[in-house]
Amino acid sequence: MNLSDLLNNPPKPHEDAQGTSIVWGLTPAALGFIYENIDDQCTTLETGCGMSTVVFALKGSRHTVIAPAPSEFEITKSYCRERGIPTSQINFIAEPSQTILPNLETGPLDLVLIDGGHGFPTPYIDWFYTAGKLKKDGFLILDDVGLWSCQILRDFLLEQPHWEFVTEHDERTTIFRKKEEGSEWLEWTQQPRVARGGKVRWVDGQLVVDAPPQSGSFDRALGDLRNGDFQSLARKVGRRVFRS
Amino acid sequence: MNLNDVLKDPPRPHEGNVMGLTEAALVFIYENVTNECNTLETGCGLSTVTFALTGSRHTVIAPAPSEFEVTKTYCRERGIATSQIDFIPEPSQKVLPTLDLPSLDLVLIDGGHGFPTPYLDWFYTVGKLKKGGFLIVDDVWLWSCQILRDFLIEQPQWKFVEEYRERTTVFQKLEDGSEWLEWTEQPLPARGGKMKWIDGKAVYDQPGASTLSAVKRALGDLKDGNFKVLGEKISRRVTGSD
Repeated sequence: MNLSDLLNNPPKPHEDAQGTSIVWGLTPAALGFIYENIDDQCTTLETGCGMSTVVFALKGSRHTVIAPAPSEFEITKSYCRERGIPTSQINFIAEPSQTILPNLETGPLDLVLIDGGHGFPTPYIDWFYTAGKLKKDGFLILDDVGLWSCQILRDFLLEQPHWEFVTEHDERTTIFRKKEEGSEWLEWTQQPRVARGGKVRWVDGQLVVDAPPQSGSFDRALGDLRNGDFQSLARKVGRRVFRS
Repeated sequence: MNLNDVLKDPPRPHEGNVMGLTEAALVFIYENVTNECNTLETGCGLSTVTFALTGSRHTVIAPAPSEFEVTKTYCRERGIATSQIDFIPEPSQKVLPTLDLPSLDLVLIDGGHGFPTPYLDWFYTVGKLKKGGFLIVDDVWLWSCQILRDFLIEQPQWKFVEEYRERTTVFQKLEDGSEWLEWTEQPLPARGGKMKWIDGKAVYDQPGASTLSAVKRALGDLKDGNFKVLGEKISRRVTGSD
């Protein structure tokens, strides 16, 4: 069995709102990337479970898959068993990644796929506790970067020199290569996206405050009006109105 | 010794500098925490002395033993008890996931500000925060902390209490479980990306389509008399955050 066979007849471990069995999978291009870049000498990890899990099984990597969904694992295992795809080299962990990852022992990883929980802040937890285990030049794949929560991680990594952008498929799945250790432990002053993104920024080794707060909200509102900063003014008014 | 005395003569644990919460936020802690409370903070500074003054059973986590020593010495010299404080000189990212905590009355997030530390601090403490308990997020003027603030402002399990000098935001926890929700149950993630969750369906942004559907939804809100929701949507549009 190869990747084409899998794409033509995928497993369906997920359910839609009506309870119908479906598959939520990576883009075929991203599955192809895994298929071409992983072999049985590799160690890999993913959060979430689906077509990607079968691709890792096909390639024979020592794989860890983490998802709090035992039924998804059973469907995936049955699918593989029925097609003669070994899964004995896969460690299925049926727990939330947020609980498992902080203390999980794995060998150095060649590839990490983050495609588990997409609620805030799960993708960041998945990244933080796996990034240190990923080898230099290892690959990180982020799925669903069209979602706000995943997009933030993608945007952060795009500007972080420790990570090299490799490709993005369908504006949905982004692949990075790790170039240096330690980016997850840096303070904000050493993280370009953070250092430039807020009202307080770190520029040329100095703290720069965009608009120093004035004495009162009325004064600040007047300041916004005077400066033509209507967007900021509207945001503040909105907050005041809906605070109640 | 009271908070005014501390503010006039603050400790300087950060290489001789004071890096503290806004005065108003310190007052908030001083007025809302008692010696019956359990509290936790990431980071160390003026706030730690304020918690010591209140006598709360306090946990402070910062990977900086020297800051702890300066703070302890400051308190000892002024007769402020610290025996009820658990000083943990480790990174919060390592300690919090397995730390055994009591039910907390207040959590202050003011430790590492690099991405994604504030979110980890939040995730691994809020499950222990009581309903009605307070969460204080400092330095929301930084991009990393602002994201957490913006997320919580829209999350119905949290009530916005106050923001001081556009820097320190105070929330009150209304319900448990927001940290475990999927993106479809989180208003900002559900509406903030190119892929949205609208009326129980995943919707991908397409030029023009989102505007038309937004107008349709706004008309629906108007018809249903749902003025608060409509107002929020208009505000988001005006502020460009949609």
